[in-house]
Amino acid sequence: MSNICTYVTILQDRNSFVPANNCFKRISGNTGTIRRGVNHVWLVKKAQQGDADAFVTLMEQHKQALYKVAKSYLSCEADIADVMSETTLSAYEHISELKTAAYFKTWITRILINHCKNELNKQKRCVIVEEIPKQIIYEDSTADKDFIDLIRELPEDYRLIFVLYYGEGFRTREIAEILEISENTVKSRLKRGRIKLEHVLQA
Amino acid sequence: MRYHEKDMEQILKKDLVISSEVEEKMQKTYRRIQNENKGNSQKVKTRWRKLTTAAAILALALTATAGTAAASYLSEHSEFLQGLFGNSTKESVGARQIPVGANDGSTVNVDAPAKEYIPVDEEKADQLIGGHITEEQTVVQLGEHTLTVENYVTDGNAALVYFTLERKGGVTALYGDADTNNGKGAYFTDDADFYFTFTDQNGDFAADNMYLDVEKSTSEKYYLYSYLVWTADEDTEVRPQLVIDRYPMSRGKFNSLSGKENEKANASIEREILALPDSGTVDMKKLEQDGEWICSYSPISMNINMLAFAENKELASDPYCIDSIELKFRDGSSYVLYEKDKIDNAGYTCGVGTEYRTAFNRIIDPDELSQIVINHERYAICK
Repeated sequence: MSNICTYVTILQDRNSFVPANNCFKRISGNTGTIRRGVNHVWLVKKAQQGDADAFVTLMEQHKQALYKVAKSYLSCEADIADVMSETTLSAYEHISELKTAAYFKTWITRILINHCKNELNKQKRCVIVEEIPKQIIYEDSTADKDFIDLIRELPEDYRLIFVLYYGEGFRTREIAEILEISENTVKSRLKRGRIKLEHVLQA
Repeated sequence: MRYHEKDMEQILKKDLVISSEVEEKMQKTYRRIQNENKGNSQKVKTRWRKLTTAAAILALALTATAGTAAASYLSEHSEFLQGLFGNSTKESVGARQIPVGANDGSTVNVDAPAKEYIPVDEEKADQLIGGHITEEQTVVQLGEHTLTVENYVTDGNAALVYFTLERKGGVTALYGDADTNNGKGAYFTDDADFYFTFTDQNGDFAADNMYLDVEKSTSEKYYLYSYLVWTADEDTEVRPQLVIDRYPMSRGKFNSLSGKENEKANASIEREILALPDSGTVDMKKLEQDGEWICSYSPISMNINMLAFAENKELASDPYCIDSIELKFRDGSSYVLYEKDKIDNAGYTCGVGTEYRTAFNRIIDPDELSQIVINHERYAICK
């Protein structure tokens, strides 16, 4: 947390550098979503110059979004912890290669998804020696239960699109880029997913 | 309960409670980054890069970790590499039975082998062949269709091509879907009034299989990936060219013509030959035993001397004399390229004379090979 405070302080001290009206421009209504604008771009640029504290601040800003994406792929918290850690290390290693700072969220989401897929592939190749009960612990939050209940009703291919679209405010074009599928596919899955949820949950 | 759009939005937008396990791991990761960064940041970066490179080498050997390093590496040739070597546009399928048309018009079920696609490490792939992937597009207008050859790479034995075909109102000249992807590939329709193929500089055709990215493609734009095997007998450096035939009518109508009408129409086919950009040839390594050539291989393909495996010279012209091919790597992983009737992990295979030429459906690092196993004969590869 101290790192976040450091950067908030710096931003406040540098009003001439960071216009107040552009700071923390929110693109989504709730407190957990990412804020875009000068602050975000500035942090990316600082991180690209090797500033670890800026990078950590950036990751903290995106942690909630990444957690939701990972949770729509993986059910085991230990696996989620691993992929988020690996994503953080990969992103820090390669952040200098990110050409457009404004696309950081799209970029890091794609990295996370690749790690999640790798994790799933690893699991498929493993021989299960002991079946672990698939009991989900909600950690005292009804939000988590609602989230899990909802995405469980969706086919795997649709889950992530729903989380990215409704939860994270990505546009269909951005989702298409992240998932490397056509925008039309994203739109049709959103449409079919909505119908499916209505039908399944009515029954 | 019924979910309305607004309910979904509210649920998916709510913050989740990040578990203590994830939180602790993230804090540990942050501390690692910050501690490493306290020293000479350049030194830290170098060390990490070395670690990543080591991981990439392992990943290239097509293990469970493949793709980890690639995840954050943004290749200029990403679409090419993913489409031809990765699993983001293709789904693995198990051994199964598929219906095929018999001569009497009925259908019979035949055994189709399993196909496995795996993630590609783009960074490592770029290291291996990136310098030989062409950058310059070749764009050709074919009536209302536009053909764009985006990239290709060749090692003289096989070639891999990424191209698109588009038409406002919908592509009509080519057909492809998930079934053709698992079969003989996309094909030209009877509505097409053109045909294109790839040849070497001498006009020798390449046998190929066109794979359609069914996720990314739209009705107006097809994204296609072609695995080609060169059919020239002689070992010469291949300089690929695009050969286009423009028909005076649709191919369906053309094929229905007979006699003089056919001859007349045949004479009016316009052929255009375009040299494709030259980006050199990926090196192949040669494996010999006791002076006999066994096979050659590169990151993208393999050429096997069937004379070394067939019972006699006559049978050496039959690709079915090869029962199995497996590439084993130094880290213990393996690539089962072919196992008769069971597994076919090749992009395309073709027998040319007494040579068995096959394009891989993934990229390999020849320097990481420890063994090549053909028809259960093991050949150790020294580093």
